[in-house]
Amino acid sequence: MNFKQSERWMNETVQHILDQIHHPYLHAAIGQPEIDMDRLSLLLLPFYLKNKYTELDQSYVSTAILIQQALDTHEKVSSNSESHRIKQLTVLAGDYYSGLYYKILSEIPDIELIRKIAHSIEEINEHKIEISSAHSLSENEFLRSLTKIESSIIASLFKHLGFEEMVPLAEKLLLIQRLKQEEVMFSDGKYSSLFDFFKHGKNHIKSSDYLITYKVLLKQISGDIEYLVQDLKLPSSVKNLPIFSSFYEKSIIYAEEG
Amino acid sequence: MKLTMLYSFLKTDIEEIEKELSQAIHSDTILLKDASLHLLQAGGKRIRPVFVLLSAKTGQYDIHRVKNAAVALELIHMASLVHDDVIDNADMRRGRTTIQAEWSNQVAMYTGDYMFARALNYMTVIQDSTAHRILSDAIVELCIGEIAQIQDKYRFNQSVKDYFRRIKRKTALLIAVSCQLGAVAGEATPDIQKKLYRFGYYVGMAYQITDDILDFTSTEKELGKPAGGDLLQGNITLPVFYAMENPELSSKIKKVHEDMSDEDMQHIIGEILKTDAIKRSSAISQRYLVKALEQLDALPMSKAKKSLRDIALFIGKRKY
Repeated sequence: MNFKQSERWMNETVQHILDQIHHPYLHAAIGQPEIDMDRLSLLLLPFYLKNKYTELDQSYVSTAILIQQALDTHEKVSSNSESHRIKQLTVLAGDYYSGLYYKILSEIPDIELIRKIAHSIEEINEHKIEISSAHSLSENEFLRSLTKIESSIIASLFKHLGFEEMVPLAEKLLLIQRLKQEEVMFSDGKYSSLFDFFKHGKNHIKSSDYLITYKVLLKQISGDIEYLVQDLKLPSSVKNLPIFSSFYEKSIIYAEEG
Repeated sequence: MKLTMLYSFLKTDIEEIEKELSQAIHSDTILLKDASLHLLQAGGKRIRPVFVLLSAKTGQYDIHRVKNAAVALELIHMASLVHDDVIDNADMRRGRTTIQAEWSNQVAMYTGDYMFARALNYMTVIQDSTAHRILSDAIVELCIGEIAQIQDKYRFNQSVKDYFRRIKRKTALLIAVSCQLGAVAGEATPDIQKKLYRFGYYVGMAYQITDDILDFTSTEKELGKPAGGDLLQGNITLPVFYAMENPELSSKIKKVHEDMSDEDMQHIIGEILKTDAIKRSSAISQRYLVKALEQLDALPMSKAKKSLRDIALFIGKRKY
């Protein structure tokens, strides 16, 4: 795998996505969407491994990012948004990105993938509702919901393109990314569904044990990832990809702490 | 006469659509199912499915094929209503509390996204990629139209062209596409598909202009919101453009703002009603309706053609 080439593909894809979603008024008001580079590098992983990334592949990858952008944008809509106009435009921005992903897949055209992705979005929203009232969930059920929310789209795309073997790794990497985001939110004093689950979930956890429980979870998943990386015989160069680099950095920190 | 009387021969198929809609929103996640059902049970005219079915009748009608497009379009419309209620901070819709008021903004966002995904799932039963291109283009345009509506609020120097472009995207396109997709699903000839698209477009334009007129001429009870609410929210509609041709009234209208007192607002509405703005707007709406009816001329006589014509005329005469 050529690291320079991987960077080029990533930059080209980002530009392609930004061109697709370009809307001067919208973005002046609510800001330019931030592309999740970790997620993008994960989406590109199978293409790095086979050393081939066509225009069609770029459309598929862009679609997955756009859908995520749509869902994440709607996640920002709350009753206490900055202003009413910002809230209005945030709703519409998410709808706009949703329309765009459908448009891209219609133009390919790939009706089968439209169906699979639509199914994933249904599933994601069901799990989002589940975790918003997660009090009756077990830890496994809660983590399963988080996994589905984070990786259902990528899993559908990978399966559709014949990269099924990558799905377990993608699920674990995106789960760990989400858990880290949850910890950051909790540390910043913001609402975190994970720490809310620790507090109110089936297995009520004492507040003094929150962080240790979180770290144990992270260690378990990190172990799974290490195993999957070996099992898939991924070259060591993948560690340079954003999705892995942050993972390995953290692994080192935890190893030192442990 | 009730709208439903105009297509009574579709009764069985409309019931089939209604049943399918109930199934479409079923989810094992109880809260999601309750929220979706809450909106579905509030009813609605189901005008988009009706246009799909009637248009499909111009080709080879097969309810099992056509219903997928009909259900998809109604679900897309419902999803947009759920999100619109978040946008408008609305507490009531069709005499019921909105999802955002009953539950939360977050639940409303998830429900809207879920419904949109269900809609696409239904659409994929139609394997014709043209149908998907038509619908996806319309959805993107619809969003652009809604964004433009916010951008244009209280922008009193906008042109009437901005208004027509906005209502095309906001309302007319989805009705046009409902007719076109019905024709595509019914495998009508390309010429008929085009004519039905135009029919829907013209009907949609007339519908929205009528809606904008009614915002000034209806009572609060009929509208379910205070008269002149569009202007108060900064939406410059066709009657306002005509009223602003009077310089004195124009300067008063330009002073309208969100927190304007009810008394001041009622005064401005009264002034607008004294001008010929409503009459001229109605004339434009009628012109669109005539154009819509002209599109039907080339279609062979059938019950469906008669219903399409009657619905267009009904829309032109509606009082609320």
